[in-house]
Amino acid sequence: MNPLVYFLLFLKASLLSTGGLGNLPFLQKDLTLLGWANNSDFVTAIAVGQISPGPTGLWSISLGYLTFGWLGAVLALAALSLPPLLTLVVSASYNRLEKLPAVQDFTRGLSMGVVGLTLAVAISLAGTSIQDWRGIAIAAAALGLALSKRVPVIVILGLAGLAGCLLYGL
Amino acid sequence: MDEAEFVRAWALAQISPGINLVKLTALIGYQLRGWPGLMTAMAGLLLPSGGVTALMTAGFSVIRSQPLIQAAMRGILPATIGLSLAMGVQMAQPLLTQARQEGHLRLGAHLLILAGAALLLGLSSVSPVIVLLLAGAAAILLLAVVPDKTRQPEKKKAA
Repeated sequence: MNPLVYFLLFLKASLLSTGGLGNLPFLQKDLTLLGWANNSDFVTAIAVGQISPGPTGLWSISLGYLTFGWLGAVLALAALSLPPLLTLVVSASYNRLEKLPAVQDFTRGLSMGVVGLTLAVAISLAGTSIQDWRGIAIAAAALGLALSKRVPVIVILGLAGLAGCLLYGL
Repeated sequence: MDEAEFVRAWALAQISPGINLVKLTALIGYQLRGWPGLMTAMAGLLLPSGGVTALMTAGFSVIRSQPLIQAAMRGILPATIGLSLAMGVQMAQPLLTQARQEGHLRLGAHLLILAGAALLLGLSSVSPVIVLLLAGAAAILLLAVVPDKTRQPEKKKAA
């Protein structure tokens, strides 16, 4: 693995997304094509990103560690830190642009596109992480609990871990 | 920093690249103390949470071969898929609610773009960048053609 290319791929993903799992489609496509990460790395990193403190977007630091050790984690953190500085540039031109209908419609289309990409990637990752009906049931239960907004993410993942132990461990 | 400034910073964070909370932190730090404020605010957010994220991954790598951990992961990984889908739904919800108020055709246009983006990425080898640009362009075209019901009465009043 070339550290510079590795860093630039993470930077590109961060530059082209606005947080959360927005960088996931880019990283999945680029790193999988190069053979630098597999689907189980991605799902594991997303799980750690949900459990660990701070924004979910930090999941790519976990991906960095899983695929390239401590260097990968540091490169991923650096790639996450630079794009937010562009907010200051956007801030300068935002007042003029935000009122234009075309800009508003374009931003809406982008948001819909991001959601579409998230769904497509989640479905492709489901292929490796869901093996049978028990997996489908756990995924559906997690989706339902998350949408109810009454149960914290960490509790959902704790329950899922417990369900895994009971269903597969005994 | 007053509430209006904070709301503006929040709106900016939604549309510029990077993690929302990091951008918000950068803007607040810059507004209050300039570049030193920006640096300390970002370091204060990213170093502890990023460090813990990396350490948790390292800890997990050590214990991942334990049978009980593997069983737990077989429950946690499918749940992660469910949570990712939920994040997508939650991101779409406010925009879709707004689109529905603007008329059924506008809602249909939004859903069409969403489904089109998912299918394009899922079934072809097109880069996600192209998919997003196409989604933005499609929105400009479709939303220009399909009228916004909530805006028409205002126009009549103005005329």
